Amino acid sequence: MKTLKNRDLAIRIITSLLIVLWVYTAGSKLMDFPDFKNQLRLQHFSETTSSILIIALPLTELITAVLLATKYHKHGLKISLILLTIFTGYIILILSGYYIKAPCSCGGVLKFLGWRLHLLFNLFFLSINILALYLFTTKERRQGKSD
Amino acid sequence: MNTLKKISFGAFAFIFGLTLVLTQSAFKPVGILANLKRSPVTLNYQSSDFSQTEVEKESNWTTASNPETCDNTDQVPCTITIDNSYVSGGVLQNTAGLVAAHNSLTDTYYIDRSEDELMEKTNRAQ
Repeated sequence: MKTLKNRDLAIRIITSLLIVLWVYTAGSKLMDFPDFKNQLRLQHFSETTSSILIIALPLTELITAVLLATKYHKHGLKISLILLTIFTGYIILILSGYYIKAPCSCGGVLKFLGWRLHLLFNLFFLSINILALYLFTTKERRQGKSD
Repeated sequence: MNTLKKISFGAFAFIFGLTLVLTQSAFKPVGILANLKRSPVTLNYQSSDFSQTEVEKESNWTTASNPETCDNTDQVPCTITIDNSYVSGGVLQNTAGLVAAHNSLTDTYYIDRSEDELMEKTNRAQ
């Protein structure tokens, strides 16, 4: 019984942390939209890709946060996992020297972390995201068995 | 009651995230504070190649002196004064994200901007 409570609590805490993360990163982009546009242009994307990302990135982050805050948090966890995997992969490519230039590390206070710390930050959230999904899945399986 | 608790938890996290956004200066540093924290370093362009690739190549910018006179004409690069965090061992790092602009008259490139929003640049005539 205590294990069940701990698991639910862990899922709730991790989900809350992810909500804060996505609200903050989306909000940061929207609060200073012109600067976000300029900094996205400094990244390694084509003009078309940048134009799409300018809208898609903050929108997806916000939708993820909303899903995490509602009964659809399992879907939120999955989208969050995809986003974190993409962002983390991008940072790894930059740190490995795949790109000649390594432009800004965008996103609020994360801008001041630098790429290495940003990678650690992402890996932490990626890990807890995976953990939350795992706990959620095992919880569903147990509930399915007990039904 | 349980649903209300769940919603409250998520809503609280949402509001907390929004509060963080509103209390943080996300993309632009606070002007005076940003300037106080800076340790500017002046770098000179060392190459005679004024193509976009070379002008944007960070290894072409070092603290070594350059005899050219910078007259502030946007034709070819001359010097930049950038924060020390983008420099290592007297050489500009690739995190500086230099961006060059094209002068159609001379068909050369000069320094336009970089990752350091407070960078000062002085170009010169070819």
